[in-house]
Formats: sequence, C-alpha cells, structure tokens
Amino acid sequence: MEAAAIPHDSHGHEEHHGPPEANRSSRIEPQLLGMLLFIISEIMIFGAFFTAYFFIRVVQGDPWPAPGTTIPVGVAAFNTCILLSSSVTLHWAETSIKNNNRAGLKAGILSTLFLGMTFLFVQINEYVHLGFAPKDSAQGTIFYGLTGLHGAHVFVGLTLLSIVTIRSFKGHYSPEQHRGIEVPGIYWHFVDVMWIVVFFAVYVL
Amino acid sequence: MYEQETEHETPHRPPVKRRDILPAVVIALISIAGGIVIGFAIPWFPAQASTQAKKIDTLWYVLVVFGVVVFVAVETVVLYAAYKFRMKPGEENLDGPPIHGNTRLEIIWTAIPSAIIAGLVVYAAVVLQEIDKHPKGELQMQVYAQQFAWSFGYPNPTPGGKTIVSDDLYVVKGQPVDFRLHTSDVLHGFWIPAFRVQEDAVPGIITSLQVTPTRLGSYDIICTELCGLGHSLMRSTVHVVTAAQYKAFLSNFVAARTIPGATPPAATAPVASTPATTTPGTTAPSATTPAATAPAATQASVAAAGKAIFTGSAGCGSCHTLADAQTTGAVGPNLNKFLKGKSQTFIRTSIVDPNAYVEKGFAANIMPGNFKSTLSTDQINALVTYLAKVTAK
Amino acid sequence: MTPGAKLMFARLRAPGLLRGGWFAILGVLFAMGLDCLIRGVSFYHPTIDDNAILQVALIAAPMFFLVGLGAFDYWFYWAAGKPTRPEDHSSHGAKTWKDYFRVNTDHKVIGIQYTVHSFIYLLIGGLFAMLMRAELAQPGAKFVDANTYNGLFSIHATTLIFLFVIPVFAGLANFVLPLMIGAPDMAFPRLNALSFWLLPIAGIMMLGSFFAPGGSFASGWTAYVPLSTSAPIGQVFFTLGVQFAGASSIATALNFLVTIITMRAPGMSFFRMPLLVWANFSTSLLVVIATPFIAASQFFVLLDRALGFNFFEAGKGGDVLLYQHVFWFYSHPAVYIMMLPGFGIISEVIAVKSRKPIFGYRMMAFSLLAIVALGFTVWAHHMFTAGIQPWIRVPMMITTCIIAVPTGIKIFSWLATLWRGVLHLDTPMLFALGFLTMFTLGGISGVMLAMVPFDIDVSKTYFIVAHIHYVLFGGSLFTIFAGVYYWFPKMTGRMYDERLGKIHFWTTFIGFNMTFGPMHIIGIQGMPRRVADYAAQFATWNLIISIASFGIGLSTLVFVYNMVVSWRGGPRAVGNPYRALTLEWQVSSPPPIFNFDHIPTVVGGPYEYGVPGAVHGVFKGGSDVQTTPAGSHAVPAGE
Ligand code: HEA
Ligand code: HEA
Ligand code: CUA
Ligand SMILES: [Cu+2]
Repeated sequence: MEAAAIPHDSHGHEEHHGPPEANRSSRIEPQLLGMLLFIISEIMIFGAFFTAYFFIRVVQGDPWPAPGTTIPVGVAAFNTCILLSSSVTLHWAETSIKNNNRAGLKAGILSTLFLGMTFLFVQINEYVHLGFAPKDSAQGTIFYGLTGLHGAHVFVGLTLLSIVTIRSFKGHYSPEQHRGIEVPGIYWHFVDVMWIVVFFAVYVL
Repeated sequence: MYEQETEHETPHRPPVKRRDILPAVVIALISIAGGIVIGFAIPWFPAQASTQAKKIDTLWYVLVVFGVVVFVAVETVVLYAAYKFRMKPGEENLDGPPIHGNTRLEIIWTAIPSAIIAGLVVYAAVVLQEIDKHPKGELQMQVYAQQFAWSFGYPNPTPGGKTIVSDDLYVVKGQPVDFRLHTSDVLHGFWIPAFRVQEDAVPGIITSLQVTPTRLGSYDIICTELCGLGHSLMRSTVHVVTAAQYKAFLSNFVAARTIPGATPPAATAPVASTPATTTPGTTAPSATTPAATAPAATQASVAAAGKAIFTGSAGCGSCHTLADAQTTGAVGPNLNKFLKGKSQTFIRTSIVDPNAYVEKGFAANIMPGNFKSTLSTDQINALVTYLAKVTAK
Repeated sequence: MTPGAKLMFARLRAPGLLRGGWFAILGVLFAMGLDCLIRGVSFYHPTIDDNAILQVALIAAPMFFLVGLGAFDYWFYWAAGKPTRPEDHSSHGAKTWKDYFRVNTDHKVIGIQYTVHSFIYLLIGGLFAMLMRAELAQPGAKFVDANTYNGLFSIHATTLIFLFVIPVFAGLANFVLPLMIGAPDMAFPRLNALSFWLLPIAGIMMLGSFFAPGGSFASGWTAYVPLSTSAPIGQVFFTLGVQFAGASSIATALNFLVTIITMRAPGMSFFRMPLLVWANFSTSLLVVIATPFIAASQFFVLLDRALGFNFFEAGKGGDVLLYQHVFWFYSHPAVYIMMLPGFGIISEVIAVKSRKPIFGYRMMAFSLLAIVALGFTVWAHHMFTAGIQPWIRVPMMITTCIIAVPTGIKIFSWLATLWRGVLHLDTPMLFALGFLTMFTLGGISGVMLAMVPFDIDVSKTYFIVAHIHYVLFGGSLFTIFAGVYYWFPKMTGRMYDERLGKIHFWTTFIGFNMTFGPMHIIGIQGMPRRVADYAAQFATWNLIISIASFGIGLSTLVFVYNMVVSWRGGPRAVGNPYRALTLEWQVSSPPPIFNFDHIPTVVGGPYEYGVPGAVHGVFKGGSDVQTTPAGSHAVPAGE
C-alpha cells in the first residue's frame, strides 16, 4: 500500500536526477525580490537608530551638536556629492553591459568602487579630526552611531561591488545575464539614498 | 442559519436542531453564573487601602464578568462540538457539510467583541483619568531607590528646611500623596499592592505616582523591576497613620536623627563631644525628645548609630547576613564570617570601594559603589565602628 | 606521508563539523591577535584584556566556524568569479543520520534539523524551569542563590523564545511549506542552510554564558538597561547570541517570502494557499520589519558596554526608556511571530480533522494581515508603568484591545468550522481544541492587562507570568505539539503512538492548568515576578505550582519517548493517512527527495472537504502520485 504512493516508477523523461523546474508564479525575479525585502530590514535598522536619534535629540531636548563641538557640514556636503556621483557611475556600468559595452562596464564599476572608497576615506578622516568621541556625550554617541552605521553599509556595499568588479574583469555578465550587477546595484543605490537622510538629520537640521 | 446546501449526494450530518442546542445553552448560562460566582468568591486582592484601589478592584470585577462570558461562550462550543460531532463508529469516511462561510455570522462576531472592548476601553480610560487626578492639598513625597533599599523624603514642616530623609514611610489616611520617584543606579519598581499602584524609578528622570490612602495599617512595599541580586529582598513597609501620629513620627525622627549626624565618632574625630543642640541642618523642636538629653558620643552610641544605618538607610542587611543586626541577606558575603578579625581600614575600604577586594565566590560590581556619596563621613565612621565591634570575635 | 595521516588531513580540510571546530579555535586566536594588535598599537593597558578578547571572540569564532563548516564555500567560489561547481545535488537529501550534521540544502533535511534542534532547547529551557520551580517550592533561598536564579529564568525565557518557539515554527514550515505550495525547494537553499547553522551558535553562546566570569546573564529576557549595561560580561553572551538568532530569523523570513511569492504551483492563487502558508507569509513580514529593532537594541547595549557610547547613560544625555521602546517595538510583534504560525497549524489541523472547509477562509487570511499591521502599534502596553509620557497610554490601550477583534474572528471561525463536522479526536485535534481553550484564556488575560488601571496594579507580577504561559505554552506550544503530531507521519514516514499521544495531551493539559492557573491569583495578591524568594503567605500556592510543574516535566518525557520510539520503530505511514487535500499529503511519506516529479497544478481551494470529488491539486501523468479527492468515497487510511 505504501509503494503505491512512491512516485519512482519508470518514465522516459524521468532520468533527470534533479528537481523539477519550479513554477514561476511571479514576474519578479527571486534574487531581486530578496534584495528588496532585505532592504526593508535595512531601513528598519536605520529606523531604530533614528529612533535613538529622536530620543536623544528631541525627547531629551539637549542642544545639537553638543556644546563646544562643531560638525563639519562642508566636508559632509562634499562627501554627499561623491557618493551621489558613484550612483551615476554605477548606472553607467549597468547601461554599458546592457549594450554589450564591456569597457564601459569595467570603467563604470571601477570608478564606482573608487568613489565609494573615497567617501569612506573622507569619513574616517573626518572622524579623526572631529575633536569629540562617542563617549563624550549622547549627541556624540548618536552622531557616530548613525554615520558609523551608514559607513558599515558603505563597506558592505563596497564588498559586493568588488565582487562584481572581479567578476566583470573575469569576463562574467552579458547583455542577457547581468542580474549579478543589478542586485548589488540596488543595494548601492539604497546606501546612497540612506546617506541623504542621514546627512540631513545629522548635519543639516 | 447556514446557507442552503445544494449537495445531497454525500450523506452529511443533519443540521443541528434548536431542541438539541437548548441544553447546551442552559449549561452555558449556568456555567457563566457559576464562573462569575467563583470569580467573585476568590480572595483576589490584599487589603484595599486607597481610593485608587477601590476603583481598580471594581474594574477587575467587571473584567472578570466579561472574561467569564467570553470564555464560557467559546468553551461551550468546543465541548459541545467535541461531544456531539465527534466521529462515531462507521463515520470514518464521512465528511462534514461544505459550509464556506456566512457573512451575517461573521459580522456578528466582529461587532459584538468590538462593542465589548469599546465599552471596556472607555470605562478603563475614565478610571485611569480618576486615579491619575491630582487632588487639592496633595503632599509631595520623595522616594529614593537604590540597590537594594528604599528611603523616603518628607517635606520639612519648617518652611525652607531640608527634605527629611528616612527609611520608614509614613503617610496620612485621607491625605493625597504625590510620590516622586528617584533612583541612583538601575531601574526599580515601586509597588504597594494594598494601594494597587506601581511605577518605575528611572535613572535620569523623575517619575510620579498619585495615591490617597484610605485605611490605617502597615502594608508591603515591593520592588517590581528586576534590579539585580537583591531584587527579591528589596522590600519595605508603608504605614498609614493618622495626622497626629504622622506629626509625632516626623518630629521624633528629626530629633532622633540629630545624634549620629552630630556626634563625630570618638575614634576619628579630634573633638570628642559636640553638644547635640548645635546640630546644623535640623530645626526640629526637640526640647521634649530624648535626643536633647542624650549623652555625649561614646563608642557605644556610635555603634548603635552604625547599627541603625546598617539595617536602615544603607540597606546593608538586605544583602549581608549579620547576626547582631539579625539580618539574613544572602547576596553578599556573610559578614560574621568574612569580617572576623579584619581591620577598620579594610572594612572602610570595602564599604566605599567594594571592588577593591572581592571575596571568592562573589562577583564584582554587585555591591553599590556609591556609599561614599550617599552616606556622610560620620555615617561611614559609625558603620565601620559598629562592624568592627560586632565582628571582632 | 602515511595513508592514515593523509586521510586525517583530508578529513581536517573537508567542510564539516571537524573543520568548523578548528576554524572556531582559529577565530579565538584571531580575536586575541586583533586585541593585542589594536591595544598594543594604541598603547592601551593592559595589552591583553580578557573581556575585550572575549567579546571579539564571540563574534569571530562563530564566523570562522561557519566558514569551516562550509556554509560559505559556494559563495566564496562565486565571489572570486571562479566557475561555481555544477549543482550535483550531493548536498541534497539525507541518506544517513550523519547527513543531518552537515550543511545540507534540502528544505526537508533543514526542516528536521531545525525541529529537532529546537526541541532540544525545549528540554533545556524546561529543565531550567524545573530548577526554578524547585527553588520556588518553598520561601527562602533554598536551592540556588539569587544570581543563579536570575540567570535561570533569563536563560529559560531566552532559549524558549529565541531557540525554541521561533525556530521550531520556522522548522515545521521549512518542511511542509514548499510541499504545500508545490515547490521543489525553498527559493534560496544555501541561505536556508546558513539560517539553520546560525542557531546552534546562538544556543551554545547563551548556554555558555553560565561559564562566563561573574555568571550568566541575569537581567531577564528583556535585558533592560542600565542593569544590562552594568552587568558582568555574561550579559554579552545574550547581546550577541540574540544577534545570531535574529539574523537566522530574518534570513528564513526572506526565504519564505520569496518562496511564497515566486514559487507557487500553477493555479495556486493567493486565495488558494493553505492557511499555514498565509500564516508564515504574515509572520515573515513581521520578522523582516520588526527583527532589526532588537538587533539595534542589542547593538546599542554592546556599544555602551564595550566602547563607552552613551545611548543609555542618563548623565550624558542618553535615554534609559529608549531601550524599552526599541526593544518592545520588536518584542511585541515577536509575540505574534510566536503565535501566527501556530494559527496556521491549527487551521490545517481543524479543517482536516473536522472534515470541513475552513469557515470564512478569506477573513482568516485578512485577520492575519490585520494582526500584523496592528502588532506594530501597541508596543508601549509593556511600558504602562515604566515612566513613559502619560498620554501614550490610552492610545496604546485602544490599539491593544482592537487586536482582540481579528483574533476573535479567528477563534470564532475555527469554532464554526467544528460545527457539524466529523471530529476525529486524535492527538493533533486534542491539542488543537486544547489550544482554543487555553489561548482564549491567555488572550482574555491579555485584554485585562491592556486596561491601564489594572496593569498599573499587576504589571510585573505573577499575573504576567500566568499570561505569558497561557499564551506561549497554552497557545504556541500546544499548536507546536499539534503540528508535530500532525506532520509526524509526513516527516518521518512512521506513525506515532496514539495512546501515548493522548496520555501526553491530558497530563499536559491538567498539569499546565494547575501550574499556571494559580499564578493569576498569587500575582494579584502581591507576588512580584523574577524573585528567588517570596513572602510566606504565598507558600502553599507555590508548593502546589511546583508539584504540578514537575507533572508537566514528566508528561514532556512521555512525548519525547513517543517521538523517539515511533521514529525508530513505529508502523510505516502511508502517503496520506488523514485523507487530507493539501499538496504535502499527496506525495509519499517521507516525501521523495525532490518533492515532486512534476509540479502539480492547483485547481481548487485547499479545504474542500465534503464537496464530492473535489481536489486541490492534480498531478501530470496517470501513474504519478494519486491525489485524494474529498468526499465520503475516499480511500480510508491505512487499509
Ligand atoms: C504568544 C505570545 C503572546 C500573545 C499571542 C499575546 C497576546 C496578547 N497580549 Fe501578551 N504578552 C506575552 C506574550 C503574548 N501575548 C508575553 C511573553 C508577555 C510578557 C513579556 C515580559 O514582560 O516578559 C506579554 C505581556 C503582555 C502585556 C504587558 C503586561 C505587563 O508587563 O504589564 C500586555 C498588556 O497589554 C499584553 C496584552 C496582550 C493582548 C491584548 C494580547 C492579544 O493579542 C490577545 C488577543 C486574544 C484574545 C482576546 C482571545 C480570543 C478572542 C476572542 C474570543 C474574542 C472576544 C474577546 C473579547 C471581547 C475580549 N501582553
Ligand atoms: C515558550 C515559552 C515558555 C515555555 C514553554 C515555558 C515553560 C515553563 N515555564 Fe516559563 N517563562 C517564559 C516562557 C516559557 N516558559 C518566559 C518568556 C518567561 C519570562 C522570563 C523573564 O521574566 O524574563 C518565563 C518565566 C517563568 C517563570 C517566572 C520566573 C520569575 O519571574 O521568577 C516561571 C516560574 O514558575 C516559569 C515556569 C515555567 C514552567 C514550570 C514551564 C514548564 O511548562 C516547563 C515544562 C518542562 C519541560 C518541557 C521539560 C521537560 C524535561 C525534563 C524534565 C527533563 C529533560 C532533561 C533533559 C533531556 C536533560 N517560567
Ligand atoms: Cu529594586 Cu528590584
Ligand atoms: Cu505585547
């Protein structure tokens, strides 16, 4: 009786030893959807840090920045431009591969990588010269908290981009097959947009 | 009641007749009545000793009534179904009727609970507003929490006088009190079950709690917020007294307190005896209190003061066992054992800097490190003298 | 080199637990090195700091372990742009028990790994409860000291929440969900494997805290600051352990969402999905949105502790209540993360065991989504007495109470499903009915707690402990038992022992009520929670509670015995012993290695019991799997 249920009798086409092809019940690609959902989680992480920002800055109502400290808006604005332009170069890389322009892909991805690293470098340099530390005040804490969290995301983004770079130079991707650029690309654009929010919250407002 | 069935090929269960449900309904009504009786008979609450308690207790009984009704309703259907619709021999292959839903029923069971909770929420909001009221003539009192003891600040009857801090809490029957909660370390929860109210003491902010005691007696104060090793032992008592008793307590207390604070222990102070009447900071009328006639500081009275601090304001006894003070705390080392033969310097260091030496088997950072600031030098001296005396042998 | 040595080296280099082990040791060494380097370069003293090393090691060693285990092998190849190994499905399916100790990408293997691993933590967490009850049997410190006691209930709750209830639901769904929607596997099988292997790390870390200098973490599962920021180093084991459990949770949730959205069988529209799938869809939404908040709350604690940040340092402008807001913004939704999958299980069990379609299917699905949405608006009901701004309380009381409405819709729809059904009162169904009973009580006490004036009295007393267990034990755990019994034939290919199952149910049900019922009373009478010692007036009740709780412990042993013995030697199960319609029952028990030869086509709703000839899915080719039609002419079980 139990044998009846076991489906391993001989069918001509059943010689394959893999799973059946899954049905695609949605037009959206799994990888893309996964990344979008992951970005929701990431937004919530930032949300939690912004909650801390709200409590420290609004609920506690202490002056911003902490008395006796300054926050270099100019440097950050410059850095914002750098990060924004990296989104443009990344877009350039993506359009290039869609048009089968490998040189454009390589140039675009390399310049994105370079711009991202510059951003991180400027950020670290800013930390060194700020003159206050997280342990000095809650304002310092949340300043480093938010910018540091974002910096960590830039780092993750750069890691993903360097994988893309390696693979681009090894000849991967084609006009038909470029999801491997698109998915990290979305992440990178997200990191960019998030920076604008952080920039306004921390430096401008 | 249900939608018309169109399938008749399969032998389904026949619809349930009203006659069959009747017994179940009767049993349910009886259970509701019984449930409510039990709900009212259980001795839920400790003594009811505040205006707040009265309102909250009434709210609870209302909640019990609705809770019983909802629960019995659900349970009746579960039990009735389990009894009536259980599979009987020969029904192994039978299926139930394919009923997919019924809009009217679904609306009903959305609407009725909505109505119940709407009513309850409005009622609870009204109760909340009443118990939170600040009545006229409210007395503001301070509650100081620290690991693992309570102390209380009374407004000084003398205008401009400093807050009077005691380890005992006395409140006046009928006198609304506004407690202001402070903590010097972690979160603590200030709960008086007889008053039915609690609130956390939070570092960095001052929280508050209103209550109007209505019944004379002594009631427990319990710390409800996990605050470390001594959390279970962080207890105290509130005494609800008459206005006259309150006044007497306050003046006695002020008078009595002038002694240890004013008399530097002989061991450390060069000036051995200062007249008690010149005590700074206290303006209590003390002519008739025993304090005025107290003898000059002797080793013995200093030690007595130390004992009072040990069992009282410093709260040492909640963590440490000390036979002389009849304390049995088990959080920290047993002082009878571990202080035996130790020098006064060692004892002093252990109080003001507990991590300097941590006994084997005990963890650092448990004992509060702030006694240096919460106790006056005199008090620490008294404590050291006392401890050295009672643990010497 | 001798062949023996060669073999040993090969073993050490091959991905697996062995390589994971020595990689973990490398991780500790790495932490030491990093610490000495950084402190040496910046002239900190002392250069070697145990606490710093420990904290770095707690992050590094698990990462190294995962690399050693081989969880990342594929991705490393991919990242380096090397040609990835062609998928030979060698890491698919389990041929021997050893395959359960490897990185395996088969959702069914992972499902069993998850479930069994979680149940081990039920026993551990339950054992801690037994120790707690032993201490509480009499007033006074009798059995353990205050530090150990605080550690016991902290780890009791942490393991049961983060290592039992949340993952066991993920495990059961891992096994049956792809089958139910007609998918050959999850969308990201390698991520799925990684999610599982994060769990033992979290578990070992939390239990390991007992060996930390200064004792285990002892600030409750809520780990409120500033107690947790000033506690001994054992606290970090919680702070970091939760990160691993949380990462696992998020990864699984992403996987479920993508699988449900993109891999349903043809014909399976959203409103033809079984309610278990709906429940996990809703739960996964909660996880993806809420879990980052607990991660953040523990990051804050870690930064405050390790690097001197001031998130919670009142003296420096930090905010103590911030922690509670962030923590509960996760942990309230977390209670629904621990309940909604159970609702799904109950829907499956009740429909099949009453032989009737679920009453009000669409409202069942919508009420899940309503609970998800409302769940984010109620967090401050845990903070009514925490010193929050008074105006927050009434709005939160209202939103909290509103949740009773969609939950009520579910309860009443289940009741209506029972009505006029043919109730098979076997073990899964008994647990389902037990769940209806106990969860209703727990929900009612929840609504009572939502009433601010009442909560001001009983918050943080044993009344809360009663509520916790009525919803988590009477609610979640009962649904877990129902689900495990229900799918036991599918997962193991064997039948469990019905008689032992019934004994388990009745002893648990009675023991449970005797243990947790009286807690309502002593709570209101004045016994606070989280105390190792209590006033003498509560002695009688506590003794009764302790004795009854040992009864639950024994009844759990009956369950364990039944599972182990039936798995090893129970009678073989047929593919569809319950004449169920959902797809997982249309394949053999246990299911074939790739689930289906052909993806089935779904032609109707999942619960069309009583509709003659109705089927949920059809399979291509006559000799393929037979689907069971509903109606009274179906082939009876086991004949
Ligand atoms: C599975 C887990 C789970 C679930 C599902 C719930 C469900 C609910 N909980 Fe519970 N809760 C916990 C787990 C859970 N809880 C835990 C672990 C804690 C303690 C945390 C800690 O401090 O350690 C806690 C604490 C807790 C508190 C804080 C108490 C305090 O600390 O002071 C409150 C207060 O509002 C509350 C309320 C509710 C409500 C209103 C529901 C509702 O969702 C319940 C809804 C269900 C029903 C109401 C029953 C069915 C409905 C009907 C039959 C319809 C008719 C009903 C009516 C008209 C009332 N819970
Ligand atoms: C799913 C969640 C869950 C479950 C199943 C349980 C199960 C149990 N819980 Fe738990 N409990 C919580 C979640 C849970 N609890 C939470 C969240 C808290 C709050 C913690 C806090 O304040 O931070 C809590 C707190 C809590 C307290 C209050 C502690 C305090 O505040 O001081 C108590 C006290 O009695 C208690 C008791 C029990 C008992 C007796 C069981 C029993 O049902 C356990 C039954 C026993 C077993 C299932 C094990 C059986 C096995 C054996 C006996 C031997 C096997 C051994 C080996 C194989 C080695 N629990
Ligand atoms: Cu103070 Cu608990
Ligand atoms: Cu909640």
